[in-house]
Amino acid sequence: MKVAFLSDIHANFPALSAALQCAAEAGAEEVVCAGDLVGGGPHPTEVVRLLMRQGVRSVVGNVERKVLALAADPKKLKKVKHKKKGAPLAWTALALGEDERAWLASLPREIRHDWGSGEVWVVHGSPLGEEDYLFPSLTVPGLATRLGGACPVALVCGHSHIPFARTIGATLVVNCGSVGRPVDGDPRGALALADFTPGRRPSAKILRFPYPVAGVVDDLAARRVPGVDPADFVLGVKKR
Amino acid sequence: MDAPETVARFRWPEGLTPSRVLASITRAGYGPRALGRGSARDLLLDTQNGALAKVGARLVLSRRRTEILWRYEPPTGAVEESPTELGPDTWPMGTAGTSVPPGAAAALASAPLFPVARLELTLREEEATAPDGSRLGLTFEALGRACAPYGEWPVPLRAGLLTLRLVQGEAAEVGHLAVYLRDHLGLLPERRDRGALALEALGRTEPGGHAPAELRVAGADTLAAAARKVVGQQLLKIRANAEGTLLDLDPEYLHDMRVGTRRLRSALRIFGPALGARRAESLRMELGWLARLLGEVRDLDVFIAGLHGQAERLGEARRIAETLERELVSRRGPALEALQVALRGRRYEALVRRVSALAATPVPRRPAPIAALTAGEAAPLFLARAHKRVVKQGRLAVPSGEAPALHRLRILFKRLRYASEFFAPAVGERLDPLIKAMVRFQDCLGEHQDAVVAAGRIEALARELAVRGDLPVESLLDLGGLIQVQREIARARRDKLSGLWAQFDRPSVKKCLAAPAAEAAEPLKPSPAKRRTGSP
Repeated sequence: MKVAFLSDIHANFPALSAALQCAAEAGAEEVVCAGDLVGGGPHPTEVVRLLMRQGVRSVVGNVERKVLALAADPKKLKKVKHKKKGAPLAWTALALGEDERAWLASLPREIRHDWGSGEVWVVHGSPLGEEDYLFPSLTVPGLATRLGGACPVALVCGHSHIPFARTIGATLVVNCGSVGRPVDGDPRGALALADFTPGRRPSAKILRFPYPVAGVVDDLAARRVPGVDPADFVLGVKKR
Repeated sequence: MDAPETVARFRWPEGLTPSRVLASITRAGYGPRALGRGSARDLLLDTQNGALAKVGARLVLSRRRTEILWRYEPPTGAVEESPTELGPDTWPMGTAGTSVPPGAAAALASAPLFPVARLELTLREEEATAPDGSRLGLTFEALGRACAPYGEWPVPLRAGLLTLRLVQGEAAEVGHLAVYLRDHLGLLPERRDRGALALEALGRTEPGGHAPAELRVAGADTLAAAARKVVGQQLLKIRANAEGTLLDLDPEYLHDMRVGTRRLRSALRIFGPALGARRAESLRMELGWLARLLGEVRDLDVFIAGLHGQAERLGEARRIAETLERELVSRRGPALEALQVALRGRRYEALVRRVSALAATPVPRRPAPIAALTAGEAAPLFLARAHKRVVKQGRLAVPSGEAPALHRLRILFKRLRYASEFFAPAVGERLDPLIKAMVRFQDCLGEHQDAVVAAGRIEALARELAVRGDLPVESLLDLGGLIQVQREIARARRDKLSGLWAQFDRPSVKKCLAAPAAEAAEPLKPSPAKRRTGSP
């Protein structure tokens, strides 16, 4: 069974639309999202609604947690609205409707599922938490620390925006990269396509897909999303 | 956050049926509901100055099967419809719309309506309920043929438009569905509505000749590029009013065409070095021919309107005013005929072609030094020079109050005002209060000039009528009274002029006009002069 894993959409609807099309064309039978659906892009409502409607299973990301915390605390929301760092999150919190916020709040921290070749864990950062990063340089002891003695056949994550698929020890570790905010110099979106054929070791590959960046750039300006540089989308980098 | 748009338009590609679009948005959580479908024949209407087009609204008289409707499409919000008995084919030209929807009535303020274009289309109207309960209108239009309003041959359009409009609820929902249609279904956003597409296919301009974005002068434009844009703007204005002038639909068409011609001549004079001095001068001379023909009719229109107004207030002396008015109306006919012959002729056609070619000429790679300056850099040079001439003439003319000197001042002032208006988009908002004050001063000078000319004309007319024996002796006193009214108007305007003039003969005005575009010069706030109109 082929499963497409998406992560870090960051409220980029054209990229999500292109990712779903790319996954369908690659033969994915199911789509799962590894968090950070919103924040830093102009289309939070559209992204959440599409994922809700398509029945895409998702875990919560660090951005969702922050956005929901802001939405629940109007005082804090007012305070960070004009701060450089918090402004995009505050904008997202204000842009989301009640139904969308409720759906985000219902997302689990991790998904554990067997697609036919053993248990697969889907998390946003790592099993340790949403803020932890898994990079391609991950070592066997590093992975063992994160898994805490467990041994899933595959661990799927996002958060770092750096896509990779590596087998470390007995576990296939997949970082889906970012659908809507790639930072590796390639402005195309990234997703991971995993093959969980029963009786075979799971495998995965990273797919890159182009999407119309102009729509995002236009909407960032039209909707006045604060604190986001449109050039990041065009160049596929993130200025620190 | 800015207020979100409440209307979005898309090109509707041929391969995509409305049913597929509706099925897709249903899957996305929108609940569509059919409102109606069928073919329609539309007549687009607007006022002479494009009051509706200016704000992005449309008023349509639409025939759908047996039903005839007024359909008002405001720039934001829901479409308003009201039934009417008038058909698109029986529209009484130049009348104010009766039973128009309330939104249109407010926008029109009883101004007469004129046809803009005719359209044949098929449409399908749906309403979709968004996930949050907001209601959105979806109109699928397959445009068939467009036709100019005055019996020209139809032009095939073959374009499809999908218009999304907020009916009730959250404006952001229009944006959400628009993003879905654009990014999920791949529909191309379209800024123009069916009226704009029809006008473009017909090679016509929006009523009022509003300059499109590509013809707006920017501070960074070179003078050569800015000059071409200004020429293009004025040509647009002339062309937008030519048909109404030719058909004598409303005196305002002629007035606006004359204004466009004047401004074009002024632009050719100002921007001559950036356009090619010989070519610009030759065109300016040729435009003088058109300006004379337009001026003859317009002067009579102004004179007749002035006499008409005064006749109503003169009591017993109104008979002489009415006699003169009849005489003037009889002279307007031949003057208009001469103009109409000219507008139908090859000379006018060639003139428009030449101006059009000048506006479209590419900017030379190595322009003259002055033409290579940006509009923002060149503006202070041109404006300071024009202001210097005005000040020199004004210091002579205003204290003396002599009519020829004031007339000369009026001409120089007009050049300064036109130059300020041409450069205003490049210089910024600081010129706006000054331009408003210029308009007030120029109106006062204009009224003075009209009164002086009117007094002379009444004398000359009376002499001619007396020679022909058409002027009874008992009306001579009334005639004297009428001339006296003109003299009093002229005197009142002269008295007012010295107060208005003081606003311009000031170092701060000179500084404002001569400041570079980038410099944040303080905007001028001339003391508001009370506007007086009409006879004393």
